[in-house]
Amino acid sequence: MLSATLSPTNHWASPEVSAPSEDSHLSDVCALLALMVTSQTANQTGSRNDIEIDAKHLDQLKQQMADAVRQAQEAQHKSGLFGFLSNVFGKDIAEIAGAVAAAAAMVATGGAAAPLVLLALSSALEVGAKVGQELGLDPKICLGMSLAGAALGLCAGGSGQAVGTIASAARGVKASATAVEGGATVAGGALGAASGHEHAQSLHHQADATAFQMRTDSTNVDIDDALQMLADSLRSEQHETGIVSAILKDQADANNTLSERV
Amino acid sequence: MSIASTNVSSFASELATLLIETENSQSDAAHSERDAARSHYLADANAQIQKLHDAADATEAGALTSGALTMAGGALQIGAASAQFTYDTDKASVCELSASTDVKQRLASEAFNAGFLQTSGKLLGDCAAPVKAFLGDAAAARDQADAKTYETLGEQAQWQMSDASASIDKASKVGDKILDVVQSLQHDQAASNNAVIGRI
Repeated sequence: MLSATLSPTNHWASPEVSAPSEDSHLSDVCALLALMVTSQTANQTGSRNDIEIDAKHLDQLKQQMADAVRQAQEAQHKSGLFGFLSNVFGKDIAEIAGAVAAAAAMVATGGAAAPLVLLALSSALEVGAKVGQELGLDPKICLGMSLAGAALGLCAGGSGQAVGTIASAARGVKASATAVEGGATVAGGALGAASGHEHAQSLHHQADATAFQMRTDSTNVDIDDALQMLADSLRSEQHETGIVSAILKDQADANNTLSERV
Repeated sequence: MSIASTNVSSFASELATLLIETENSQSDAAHSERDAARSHYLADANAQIQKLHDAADATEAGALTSGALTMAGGALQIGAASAQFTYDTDKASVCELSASTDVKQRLASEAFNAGFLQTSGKLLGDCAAPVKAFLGDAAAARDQADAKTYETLGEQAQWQMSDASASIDKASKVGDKILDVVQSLQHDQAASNNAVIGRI
């Protein structure tokens, strides 16, 4: 390719080549073409070297890109796992603990009404046992209901001490459940931060993969250019060689003609 | 190597030199265009990648800030549970009607601490999501949009590179035609010489 050979700014250009000697018997055009052929040969060598270097670089880039994609997948997997655990701790466990704490708070703060509730439950169970017996319900069930009613009645009878104990236990359960809720929230926050960190790492690796893809594209362009230049150079060299041969043949014909005339 | 400095005498050589210089100039211009387009492509691609990293950093900053706020809220919640338990226990063990002023003040202080810790913890926990959205998601989305813009610019630069490559190919084909013209001129000149010799 002429431009590749002659362009002073071409980065594919080969080192300077020596001009044909003064005593060459070729014509000016032949000398010019010979110079171009010599330059094409040097240019081809340069193109081949560039292709080899770019091919090695391409292999490295492909390996790096594969590593980046694999790391991004691993980071995304970790992010998903941490996110799942964050939801379990920060939402599920915390909500259950919160519900337990709320129920315990109701029991702890509703101490005054507890004896009345126990008496009402006791009476209801006694009535239920009698009605069930009359309606032909299983005697064992009726007996169980009757016993439960009696037990509740006893508890209600000793309401002062029993209620105090229940309220105290409820306060403990409430505090524990609230603490568990807070702990679960802390764990959920920590796991959420870890999930976000891993997600960010995945994004970084994806960006790296994009960078490697960009460099791969750029290297592919280099290889395409070098291949195109090599092909053009080979074609031009062949062309120029053919021209030189034709010129030499014409000169030989002229000499022959002149000799015949002489 | 400079073609212009080559000593030529024949018309064909002079024409070839002239045409080659012209082709050379066109090829140089096309190469310059392609190099410029390539520089733009690399710059845009690097800017795109930088923005993608910025988006990742923003995502991480939002997640870490949100996590820290959530953890702080949970810790305050634990403190609130402890304070509330102390208050409930003390309150249950004291008859409010007959309690002294000091005891009442202590109970009020414990109630205030429990409420303050509970409210602070809830406030921090509630702030986590908006802070994450503001610091992380919004900034990341902005950086992603910028990255997309640079990606588009990079694609434009790739088109320009492609156009310049086409121009280079065109100039290369012009060079082949120049060689054909040189060959033709030389052949005609030789034929003419032969004819002249034949006439002598």
